[in-house]
Amino acid sequence: MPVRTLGNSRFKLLGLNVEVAGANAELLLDTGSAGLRIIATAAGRFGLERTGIPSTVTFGDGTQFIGVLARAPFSIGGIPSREPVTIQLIDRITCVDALVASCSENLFGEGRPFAGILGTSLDERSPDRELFSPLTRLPGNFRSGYIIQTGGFNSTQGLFTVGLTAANTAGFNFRQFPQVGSFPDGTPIWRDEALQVAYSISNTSIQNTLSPTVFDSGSSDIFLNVRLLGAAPFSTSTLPPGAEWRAVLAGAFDYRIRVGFPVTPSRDRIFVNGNQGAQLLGMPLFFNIDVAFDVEGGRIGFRVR
Amino acid sequence: MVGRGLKTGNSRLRRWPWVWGLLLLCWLGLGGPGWAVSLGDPLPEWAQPMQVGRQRLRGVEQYRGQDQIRAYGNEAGRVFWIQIRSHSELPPDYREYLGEYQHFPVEVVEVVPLRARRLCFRQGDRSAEWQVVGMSGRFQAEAISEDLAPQP
Repeated sequence: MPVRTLGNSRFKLLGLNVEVAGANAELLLDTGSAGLRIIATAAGRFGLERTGIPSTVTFGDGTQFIGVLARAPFSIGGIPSREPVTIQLIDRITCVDALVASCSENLFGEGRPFAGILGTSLDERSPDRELFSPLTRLPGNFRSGYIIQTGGFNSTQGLFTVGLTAANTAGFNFRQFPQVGSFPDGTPIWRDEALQVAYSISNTSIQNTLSPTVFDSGSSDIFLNVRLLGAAPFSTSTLPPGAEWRAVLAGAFDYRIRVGFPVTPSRDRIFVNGNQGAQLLGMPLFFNIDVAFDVEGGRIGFRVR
Repeated sequence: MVGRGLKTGNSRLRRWPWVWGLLLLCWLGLGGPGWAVSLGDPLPEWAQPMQVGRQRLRGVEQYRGQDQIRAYGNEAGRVFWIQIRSHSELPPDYREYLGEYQHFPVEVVEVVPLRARRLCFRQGDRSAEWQVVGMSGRFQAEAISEDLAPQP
């Protein structure tokens, strides 16, 4: 099914059409969070069971979704889930500390890019333990995993495939995540930030330095914590034009960026002074490499174009 | 019965000064569980040398509710850097950690949609940055003062 690149000159993210309780909605495809979150007015009414259990999630930029947990039939590409899935039904989107900074509330809502978030992380990335990737509720082999193939930075059209087969994973190099537990219904939890990628940045002490990494389509840019790479914070918040950056996952990919002038968001913008516990390889990687997520086997595969 | 009651009552009375003393200590910010720290505060006496990346700094680590807080001091023993790991639903509040810097004019240094934001509070040659990344249940935040940071 098609996956669409949405955004503007400041960011690009992926939109995927799904059906929730009988209504079609375009959601942000986010491999860095877990669970389906949809604005209440964008969800349909067919089979929707709204609970009174409050559910609030706040993201790092201050965007806050306030709502309740619900259960609803879900389908993607005409493939219905085997059973209703637990979702967050969003009643209100707000911005924490709105007086001092903006957030991403304007990404969501009617007339805006997305009606919510489809979090497909294999890990436990939701404050509500009941919320996890609804793709695990698809029937048969469709739940085995999914593949993201964007059309590249300059294209708005890409492909999203559910169900891994020998044919559609040909050419991918897979690496294994460790299993760290199970969701309440037995679905395995895979630690998706466990892989160590080797980073190099020209004219710095960072040369082939290993660091845990998340492959995060919900991050519009590459977002590094150089302190985890043994370096002091840089004087600039992003790598400057001309800088050469390299990320190598042995046996899977060797990915390089030479930062252009001007720096282009979602293509060669690399934030360096984060304080997170794992490096985030975001949309620039997905624009250059096809990524397969093996939900059942806990693996991730890469196919360089 | 009466005698035992009186004895218990006397014990309670003798205990009260200790209780009030502990409450006073907590109120003064010297009690462990209620310990709060802001940029510019003096490092507590119990600060220990800690390894931070390639640096070795004097610092303290405390747990408060669902937050793990580390504060590091400069050569003068004043807190210049605070790191917070939080399992809370809400991100850590900059007003609890920035001290007087929170009143300085603020500018947004960067926003990575949904993932992170960094703010700078600057007035004259004094400034502090506040950064939050993550999401509910797994926030990481830090406050760092540029004018208090040790000079390289």
